[in-house]
Amino acid sequence: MKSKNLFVFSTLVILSVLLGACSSTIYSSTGWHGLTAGTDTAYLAAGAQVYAVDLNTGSEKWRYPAKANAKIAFYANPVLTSDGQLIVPSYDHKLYSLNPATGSENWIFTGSKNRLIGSPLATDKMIYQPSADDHIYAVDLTGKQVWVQQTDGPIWAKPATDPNCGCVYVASMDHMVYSFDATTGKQLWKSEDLGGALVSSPVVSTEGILYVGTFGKEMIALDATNGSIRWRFTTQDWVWSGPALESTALYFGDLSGYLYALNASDGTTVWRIQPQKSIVDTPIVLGDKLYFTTEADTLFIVSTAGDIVSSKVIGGIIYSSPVVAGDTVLVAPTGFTAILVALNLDGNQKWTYTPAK
Amino acid sequence: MWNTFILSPMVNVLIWIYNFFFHNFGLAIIIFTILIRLITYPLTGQQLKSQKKMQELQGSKKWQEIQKKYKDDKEKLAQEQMKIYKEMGINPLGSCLPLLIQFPIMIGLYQSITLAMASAPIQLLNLSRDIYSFIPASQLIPLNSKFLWMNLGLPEISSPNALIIAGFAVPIMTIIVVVTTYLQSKLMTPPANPGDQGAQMSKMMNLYMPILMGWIAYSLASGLALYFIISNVLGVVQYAIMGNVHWGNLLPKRKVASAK
Repeated sequence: MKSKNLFVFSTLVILSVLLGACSSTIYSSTGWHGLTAGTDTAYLAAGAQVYAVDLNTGSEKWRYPAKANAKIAFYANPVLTSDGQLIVPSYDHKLYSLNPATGSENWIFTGSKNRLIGSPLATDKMIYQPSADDHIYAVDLTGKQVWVQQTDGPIWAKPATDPNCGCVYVASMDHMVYSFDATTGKQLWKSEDLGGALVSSPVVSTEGILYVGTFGKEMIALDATNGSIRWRFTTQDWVWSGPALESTALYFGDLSGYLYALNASDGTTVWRIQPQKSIVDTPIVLGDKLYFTTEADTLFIVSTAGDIVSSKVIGGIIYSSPVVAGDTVLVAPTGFTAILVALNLDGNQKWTYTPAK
Repeated sequence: MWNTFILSPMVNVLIWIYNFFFHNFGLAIIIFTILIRLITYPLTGQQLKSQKKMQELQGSKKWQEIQKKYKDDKEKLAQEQMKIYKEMGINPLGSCLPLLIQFPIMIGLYQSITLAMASAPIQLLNLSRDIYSFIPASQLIPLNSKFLWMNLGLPEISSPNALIIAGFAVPIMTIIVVVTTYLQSKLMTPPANPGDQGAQMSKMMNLYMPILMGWIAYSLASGLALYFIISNVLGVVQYAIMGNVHWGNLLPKRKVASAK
């Protein structure tokens, strides 16, 4: 009889382990790596730890926390502030301020009630952190909350700002864009329902036009002063990629893998190409070239005229936007041995970084 | 294969129900659970029939006799048991198989709840590929995951509005899951025949199962805990309709003094 009890008990334990394997408390497969770079260091938010990697050699400078903690998960792009802090949001609802030189903690903001999935916007006075608890938190540079405002949905997109308006633009998954006073948090305007969730960061032009992509298969231009719609452009699929604005052109991708170049003033198509799989990241414009990655595993370099200049297979799956630091292009693949790959501007590999266990 | 035949249909049905019933995901899970119970009703019926037949068989004189006769020859005993099964048209796995079929449904439901809730980027990206074209996904996403005090895509204690007492989040749903699972197993366990070895096994199951279900409800998305509770209650109702609820099991048992 004892052996039967043991059998029942072991069967139930195995079943619980199997089901537990799908546990949502394990963050390892829920996001992709976040990346930013200073003058000589790349900062990579890669799940349980944040890594600082030397840009010249690819060697690790520090990691935070020193020992991985399964309850913490860093996936948003870290942000460097003007007063020398590294701000890193986490899925444990907390916002961490670290010393970029040493990785030591400055402060931790604990006001959010849900995951911090999006990157913060940092100005010289304030940090604006979006949260999946539907709120946008304005925190001063010492980590104290100044104001908080609510939308009707989770906020994953990094907010945008325009120095001339003294406001913060917030794209929410409730399908609307909000403008808040940067100092007081007072709501200035709210757009109409744009027909789909907004997860990418909006971009503002010097002419006062705000561009945002939606899950309603559209790129929409809004008047930044009142949120009224200037023009709409229909895409093939959901737009996750944030637009990159350069001069008069707007560049972005969609989940069908199309990369679009639009005329920013009226939303007419300049060109579109479909190099490979889904495009989730925001393209980087450098001179007359665009750098972007596709879900497949590849970094593409495309001319601003729409011709593919070169492509480099990196490996794994790539959702994170590439980052350009000086003459180095950084790519952070997911599900690959190396979590950071450095290339020169022509796409030739310089070094890779794989964290030691 | 799993995604195409189990996960995708489940997610789409869930979202379709959500679209029709007030854009409330909690309500969608409840309706979906009722639907799953209706679909698996014939399986449960078959399970119950097999269980009853087996119960009758194990209480029969013939069965008891061969147990005694071949107690030292396991191989022969197994052969004789199989012979009786054949004679009486009983499938020994008949009561077990429907239960096993429900496991993939449970795992699929868990996955479909977390996928539909899409509380992280990769889940949302996967969801965008799993939704059928006739569902107006762009208008519905993100789904409203708030139900009572819970965020259905997160474990109950991680929900922003979890009940906090003395600084600790109280897992109310987990407690209800443990209680309803225990009650369900007690009410559905038939009275044991004398010398029935399976009774000891059932006793162990009645003890371990609520703990296991409670642990799952505690650590995974609270939407799954909601499914467990509704499913347990419906299970008891279904057995009651079939006239197989053993209310007497809830009463404390008196110890019968053994005759010397």
